[in-house]
Amino acid sequence: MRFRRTIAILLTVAFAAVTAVSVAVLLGEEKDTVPVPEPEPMLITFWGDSIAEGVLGPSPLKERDSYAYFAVVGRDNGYIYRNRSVSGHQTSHMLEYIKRPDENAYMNDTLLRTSDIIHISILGNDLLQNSLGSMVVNYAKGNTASLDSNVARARANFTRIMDYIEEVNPDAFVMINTVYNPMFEGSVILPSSCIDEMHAIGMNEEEIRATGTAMLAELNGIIFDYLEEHENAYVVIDAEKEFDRIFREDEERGKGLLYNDGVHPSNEGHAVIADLIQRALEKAGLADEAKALANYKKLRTEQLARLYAGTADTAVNRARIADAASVEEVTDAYFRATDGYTPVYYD
Amino acid sequence: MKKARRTVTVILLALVLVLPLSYLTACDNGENEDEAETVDGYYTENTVRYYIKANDIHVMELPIGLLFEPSQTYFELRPDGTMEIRAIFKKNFPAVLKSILQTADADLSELDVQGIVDTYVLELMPAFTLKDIPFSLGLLEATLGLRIEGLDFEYKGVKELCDSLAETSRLPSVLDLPEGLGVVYEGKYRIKDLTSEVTGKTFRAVYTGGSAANGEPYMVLTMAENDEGKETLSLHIEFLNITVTGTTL
Repeated sequence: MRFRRTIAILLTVAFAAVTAVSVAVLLGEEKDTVPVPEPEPMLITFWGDSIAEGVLGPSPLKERDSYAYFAVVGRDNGYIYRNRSVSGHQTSHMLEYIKRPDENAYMNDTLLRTSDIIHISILGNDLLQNSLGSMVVNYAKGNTASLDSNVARARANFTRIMDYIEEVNPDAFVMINTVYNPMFEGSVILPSSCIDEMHAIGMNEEEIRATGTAMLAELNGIIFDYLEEHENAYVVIDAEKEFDRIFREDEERGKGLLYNDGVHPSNEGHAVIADLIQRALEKAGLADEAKALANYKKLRTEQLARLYAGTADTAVNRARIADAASVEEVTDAYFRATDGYTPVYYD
Repeated sequence: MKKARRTVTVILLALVLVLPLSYLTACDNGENEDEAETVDGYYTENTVRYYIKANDIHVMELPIGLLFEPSQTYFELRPDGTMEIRAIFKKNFPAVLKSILQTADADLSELDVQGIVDTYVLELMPAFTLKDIPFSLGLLEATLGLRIEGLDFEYKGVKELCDSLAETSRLPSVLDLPEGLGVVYEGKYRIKDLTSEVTGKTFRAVYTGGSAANGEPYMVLTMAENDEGKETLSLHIEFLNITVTGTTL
């Protein structure tokens, strides 16, 4: 393996050298040629909650570095990437966390201040950890007091978080995830007693999901409102909109974007978020589309071989990935190929 | 409400006991280790063992450290880049565990093991089954590098435990487990000196396990020196509010 890599590196260096010399000769500039060092990769950091942390989500956990969106984005683009998200964090926790000085080898303060790109997923726990079940039922019955107070608190903390990041790293390109809607009939995010109560007041399956949509409009409104008041403060990664689009077009696939616990993104959910982030980075001129696509194809093809030998790792599926014209097509090709198969990730 | 709180406590305890070590080894496959070799770093000059005492384990304000035998619970870093984490339970740990759980108003026999397996463990480790504990533990070792030491499947209490899990998906009300039981992780590490851009202070980071190129393993330990001039190695996991510190003798 190392030998092959060494040969590959030598060949690449030789090819690059021959090309450089040829170009220089053609341009008549051979005397002045100075090797141009590779630019230092950009540093991207990920902050927020368990959705970003990617411990519950990637399956199997051993594949976290290939499934969690922070790793997919980092690897596809050759960035230096660090994940400083913390499962369970609400906005208040995140605010306290990012203000801590460097206190150990995680070097959070330094990372926040020196990141070229910052991605944040937060807000979800501000509802999830505050009696979500009764909050949803009350909201469905027209009592919005609980939601309103939680959103107000989250709004104040979110504003402080963004103001702080602007203060310590004004040059970073910042991205914020919206919170997607995990509510549908049969989802485990709500206890069955809550669903029963909603049925009792005459709600059907669509209306139950719509309740989640309406509540998240309030929560995600925090993100859009801040942006309206602080133009260009960040780019919104609208996971809520994309998950909902997929759910409406293909309900089974939409449900499959969630992990078994009904809260976290599944492998495919992570891939969908990674694709959204990728597009935002390309639009901002911070990512090379062709390079990222090639790296993403390589990552998924290697996973096919590593996890699905003898099942989904077929010539047809590899060709579908190879022929994909976009990261979204690669995602679709990989997950449709592996649907229904259990990965073999052990000897 | 009370029952829900108890259940949550027990689930958290289970996570506390099992997950931290699995984070160590996530992504610890050959490909990634190979890539990680390109990352600069260094190893200890000699084998160094950092013993972990009971009061050096802080887990959500619970006295989890009381479960472990201090002379057999340590981090060990070696000059060849390999490391070991060993956590061996005390002989009377089932009784200690029961006592800790009682203070948290929880009971192990109430734990819905199958529910946890279905919701989390099967996602973390597909193919895991309570019906075949030896297979599932083999899965743990093959995939995450975790070895359960001292688990004799012929031992009466272990048989009862396996039967109870397979038949009822619950733990027996009384745990009778053999002496010397514990968890051992063997893997790789590398040390890198990192300097804070804010304070100028240098931290010695110990990267455990593998990661993809330009990435970072889940756990980064911090090597330092305590007030007595002894070397320490600390593990901190923010979301579980865990801090474990080992100290050289």
